[in-house]
Amino acid sequence: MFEFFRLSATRRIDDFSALLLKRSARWLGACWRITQDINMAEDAVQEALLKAWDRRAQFRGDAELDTWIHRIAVNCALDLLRQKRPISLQSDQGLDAAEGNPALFADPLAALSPTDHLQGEQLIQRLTQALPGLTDLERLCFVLKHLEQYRLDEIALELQCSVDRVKQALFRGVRKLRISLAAFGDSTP
Amino acid sequence: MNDQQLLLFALKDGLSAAEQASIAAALEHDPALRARLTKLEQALGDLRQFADMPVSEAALNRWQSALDRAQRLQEPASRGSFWRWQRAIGVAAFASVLLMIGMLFLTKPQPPTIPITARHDAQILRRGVLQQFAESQTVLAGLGVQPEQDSALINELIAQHRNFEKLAEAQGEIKLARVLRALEPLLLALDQPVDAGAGAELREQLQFEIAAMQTKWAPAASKHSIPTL
Repeated sequence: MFEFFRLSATRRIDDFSALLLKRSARWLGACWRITQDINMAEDAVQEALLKAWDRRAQFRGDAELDTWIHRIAVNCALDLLRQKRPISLQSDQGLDAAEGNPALFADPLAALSPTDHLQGEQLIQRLTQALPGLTDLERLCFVLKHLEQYRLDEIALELQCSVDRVKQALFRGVRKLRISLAAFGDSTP
Repeated sequence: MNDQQLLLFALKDGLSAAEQASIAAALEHDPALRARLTKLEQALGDLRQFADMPVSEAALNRWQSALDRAQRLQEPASRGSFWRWQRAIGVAAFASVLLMIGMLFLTKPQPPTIPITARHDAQILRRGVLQQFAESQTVLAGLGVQPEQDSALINELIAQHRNFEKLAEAQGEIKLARVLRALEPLLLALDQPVDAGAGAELREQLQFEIAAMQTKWAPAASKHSIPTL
């Protein structure tokens, strides 16, 4: 009977190793977009892996395990970021006055012709470069909502602020990114 | 319709049902608004194109090592817990056997407690008889003070002696019953003496006999009560 448990445990560590090779780049990317720090992102992934290992009996398939590790990695990244520095809710005040100006919102990508739209690695590179231009709150709201599919109220709970605050930060984040991409687009030959 | 509402509409979150219905209705009738939404959704699609983060060989090795270490730490614990279970089951079985033996012992018929009760009753009986002897001495000493009451007093003594005699027989105190029975003829004779002299002799004989019985049946004095001088 004990041999069965030992073999089962061996199989499970193999499952983890396989998943690690296949999905760790995605987990690390999610954590990096939150922390903007590769060391913190790697720590978050490791912590998520160990937590998943402790609860491995709860997962029936790789898909479930992958989703769970991803989610826990994101939470760990948020925790690590909070430990390193408090997430500022005030750093995006500068744009509040501009919110009423429709000119800032209207189609920053309009300057791009359809053929100018960035493609593939170039777009990814430029998005990655644009992300640090956002405040912590804007970046976290954008990443959690748009990339991690959190609900607005979940984000508000996670970041300990109001849903309205999250909406504003999310809007500013998207707008800044579009402006950045438009700028890149303008500079594209 | 501002872009914030349009963004929330595109994200399908943060709008009330009424707001969503209002935007949907506006989109239906406003081609320009539909075009704005299409561009916004296209931009959002672009913004989703973040790449996976390249993972360094060092990071992969570190994570794998952490998992291996976690596995090694848990395996002995699992093995230990397995043997702990075995030991616990063994202890529980042993305790059950002990419990069963204890229950068997407790439910086994116990020796009757009659001897203890009888011994206790015998002590009470002897104390009662000694008390009776003391009262008899008092009654005998008082005979003749009121001669008209002597007969009643003697008969009462006889009745009490008979009661104690029966009690002694019932409790198996044969010797005591015999002594009490031996005193009865003397008491009867005292009730109907031939003359005053014979009555006095009988009374002295009875007092002597009773005093002897008192000495014989009195409980042994404890060592502490013996004078040390």
